[in-house]
Amino acid sequence: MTINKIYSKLRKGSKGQYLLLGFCTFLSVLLLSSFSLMYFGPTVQDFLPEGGDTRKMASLLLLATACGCFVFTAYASNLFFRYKSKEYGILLALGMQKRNLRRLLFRELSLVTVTASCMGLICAVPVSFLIWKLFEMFIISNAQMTYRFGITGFIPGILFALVLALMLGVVAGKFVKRSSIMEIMRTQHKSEMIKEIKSWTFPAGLIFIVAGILLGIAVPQIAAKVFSVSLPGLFTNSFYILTLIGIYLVLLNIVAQRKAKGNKKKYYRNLVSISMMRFTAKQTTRNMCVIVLLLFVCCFSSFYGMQYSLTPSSLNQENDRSFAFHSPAAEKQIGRTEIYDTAVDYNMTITDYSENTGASLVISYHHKDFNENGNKYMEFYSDKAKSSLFVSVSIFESISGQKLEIKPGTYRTVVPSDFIGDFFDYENGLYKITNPDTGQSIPVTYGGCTEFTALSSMAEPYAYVINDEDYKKRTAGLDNSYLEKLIFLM
Amino acid sequence: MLEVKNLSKSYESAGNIYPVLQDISFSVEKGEFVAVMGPSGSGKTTLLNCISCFIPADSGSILLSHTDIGALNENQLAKVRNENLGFVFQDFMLLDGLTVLENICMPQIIAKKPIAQMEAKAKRLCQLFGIDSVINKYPAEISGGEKQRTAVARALMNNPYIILADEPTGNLDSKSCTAVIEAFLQAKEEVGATIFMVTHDSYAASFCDRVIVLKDGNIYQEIKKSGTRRQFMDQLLDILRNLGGDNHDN
Repeated sequence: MTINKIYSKLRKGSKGQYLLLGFCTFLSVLLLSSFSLMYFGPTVQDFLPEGGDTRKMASLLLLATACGCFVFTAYASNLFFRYKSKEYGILLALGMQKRNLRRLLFRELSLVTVTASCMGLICAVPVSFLIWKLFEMFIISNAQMTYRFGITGFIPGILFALVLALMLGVVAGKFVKRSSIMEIMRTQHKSEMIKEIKSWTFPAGLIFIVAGILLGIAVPQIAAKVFSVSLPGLFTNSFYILTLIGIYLVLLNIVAQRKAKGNKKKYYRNLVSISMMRFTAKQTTRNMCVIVLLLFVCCFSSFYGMQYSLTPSSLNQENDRSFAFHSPAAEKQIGRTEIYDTAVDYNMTITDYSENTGASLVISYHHKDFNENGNKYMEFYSDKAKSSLFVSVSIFESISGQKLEIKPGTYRTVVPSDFIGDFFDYENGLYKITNPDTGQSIPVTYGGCTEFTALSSMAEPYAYVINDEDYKKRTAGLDNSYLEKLIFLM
Repeated sequence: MLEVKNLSKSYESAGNIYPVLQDISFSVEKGEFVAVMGPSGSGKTTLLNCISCFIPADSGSILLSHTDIGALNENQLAKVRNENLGFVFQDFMLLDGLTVLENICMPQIIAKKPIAQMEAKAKRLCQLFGIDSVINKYPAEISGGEKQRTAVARALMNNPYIILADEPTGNLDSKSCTAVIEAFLQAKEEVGATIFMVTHDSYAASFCDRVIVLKDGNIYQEIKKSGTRRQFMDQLLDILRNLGGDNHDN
């Protein structure tokens, strides 16, 4: 009967606790590693543009998942130490040296953490493959979507496992360092003190939530529009931490503050569950926050793709068209006959059809963009920088049914329905139009915006409407290759 | 064997300081069976925890066989707890995953003593306390009295200077209570153990050689046993009755 045999027996007796801690660690590492294997795999990394919003969103989801899994595993470790506290307290009371206990604890925790983490990392490969196949089955499947394994996908999982091991080590160290043996022995039965949750936590929480959101939105806007400064994302996003703190305070208040005001019958009927919630208020609130965080990750990732289908180019029911497309006038493309024949083949009726011409002219415009360092917004003048689609006011009126008054030398910018310009938009930025053939330029001034999604979707980012006279002058001598055939139908 | 000199201990809560032990001094001779009694909040358990070195005292000294245990470091204290002190707790504090025999052997397993001698001694103690029939059973499978006797046997394994017992009969029925007190008496007579017991049970205290009565952190009275056990118990009950004061005689 040696001390190691005793340890082994004690471990066997509390197998359930080790399994619970191990399972939580395994699940956390598995979830995170599966995510990172898919995200950091060659398929996704080759597909997503660098610095794009989707990359940022995916990174945010990875971070949120890591935070949720970390809190979840920390809670499991607390339960583990709570259960083991009696054993360790007795061993200390019987004269075991703290350094021996520390060694025992670290050995046991290392075994659990390493085993669970390795299993999590290994299982992440088939799990990520299965999830990928589910995506292919239910969402999208093409040649670009082949699952490809990349070793870099393991790095976040390994780092996360190391962080978990570190956290467990710190908690274990703090546990052993506690000097009161009586406290250690009675931890298992010790109730969480019902610390008073002040009533100001609720209004403070609400204020924090609103303040965090407002500051997070307003500060970067003010910095950009007033001071032309681009604040680092880390700084501006940190305001949202206030919102998270606010949510925690509100939840804590709701969980802990239940009093018998108003409906006393209901209060006393639910007294047991209310007292249990109040008793473990902070633990309950933390668990609720983790659940909310993980639900947020699920919902956000589920619905993220959908929002791309709800872009400003969705058709306005009143004055847009069911279908619109454009092609270079010089090309042989489908026309009226082909479209009507197709409609007959599919038993559809075309109620309105129009074919018109537009012109692709060179534009010079001013706009806002980042400087080279990316920390300041500057006004740039792009002279003869790109081409854009122009139509005459009469053509526009025949397509859209909208009557416009456009003075000579001015232009109207065609924008999508319900257009709300942002900081980088330059709907009023056009200052010169140049004929690409003759090289002749005229200055123009902004005359306002006109909504017509079907036409604006043909140009990047805007189409323009000019007065008939100006259109005639600007397109005089223009080669066919700069003309566009515009087809709209209902 | 044990000498407590000017021991004081207080707790702080919400900015207020509550004195629990106020300048207590007493001694326990070798082979004595001493009880500490008193109402709730009198400081009995705090006194025991200070003597056990589970919590540090604010001031004063605790001399165990002429060694000031309050001045020892962590490692030295661990050695003292293993070799010189034996503990019996109210809620037994046995390791649920180990058998009765293994629980009893724990102090010597920690001290890495030879296995054969350790097991032989453990079996002798089991026979002494009448728990040899449950030697291979687990704590969940035995009665409260048997658990407490297992704890007493464990406390005696390393031949400690003194056994410290915190309300050892608190969770037991009268029959088990008697069995545990008999175990203490056997330990005292057959092994020469010195026992320091905290209790609120005057029946258990009536078996002791001496009783120290605490009130509000001070020693209220100290009485040595004279006469029969019953007479001693009546004396104790009188003292405890008087502890309540004269204000509420009606």
